[in-house]
Amino acid sequence: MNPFLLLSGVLLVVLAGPGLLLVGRGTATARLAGLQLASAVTVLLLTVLSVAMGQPSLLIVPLVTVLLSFAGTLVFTRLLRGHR
Amino acid sequence: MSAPPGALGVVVWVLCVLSALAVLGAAAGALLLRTVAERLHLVTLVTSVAAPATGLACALTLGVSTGTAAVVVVVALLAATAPVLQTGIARVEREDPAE
Repeated sequence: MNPFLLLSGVLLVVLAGPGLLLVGRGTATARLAGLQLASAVTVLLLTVLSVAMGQPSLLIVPLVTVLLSFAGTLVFTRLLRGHR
Repeated sequence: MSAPPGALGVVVWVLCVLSALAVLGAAAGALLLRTVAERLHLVTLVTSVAAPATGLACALTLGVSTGTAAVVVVVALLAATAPVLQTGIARVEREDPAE
């Protein structure tokens, strides 16, 4: 059994279950906190899948994802502060 | 790509299980806890415990390569950007708790 496939399965379940619930429920700020959790789990999932499949060249995908999710979440915080 | 044989493989397994448990705990805690501040603390569990453990497991499997460098950069970026985002979200929550 491959530990990376096991870990990717756990990450996928967390992302599809609690991740989506946290992103879709509660106040806007609570959803934003859920989005950050889901983004971190997504980056880990993409990294682990790249290693599990033996395709290290695909590691560029989580690298870009972490940068884009950082910028995107910052934009959301600015948007929410502007709505006060 | 499977875990390397021998003791290194055991270390990789332990790191992967630790990472899985940390992510599961953070997700379960985020569902149970209600306030935004408490949820933000749980994100730290993913970015500061699960991510380095996963990165180390990947690095031990890949060996010295550009793939390992990419994994290290991803983990470092994840750990470095998370506090900035958490501070931003907490500031929004503090300024307007109703929203």
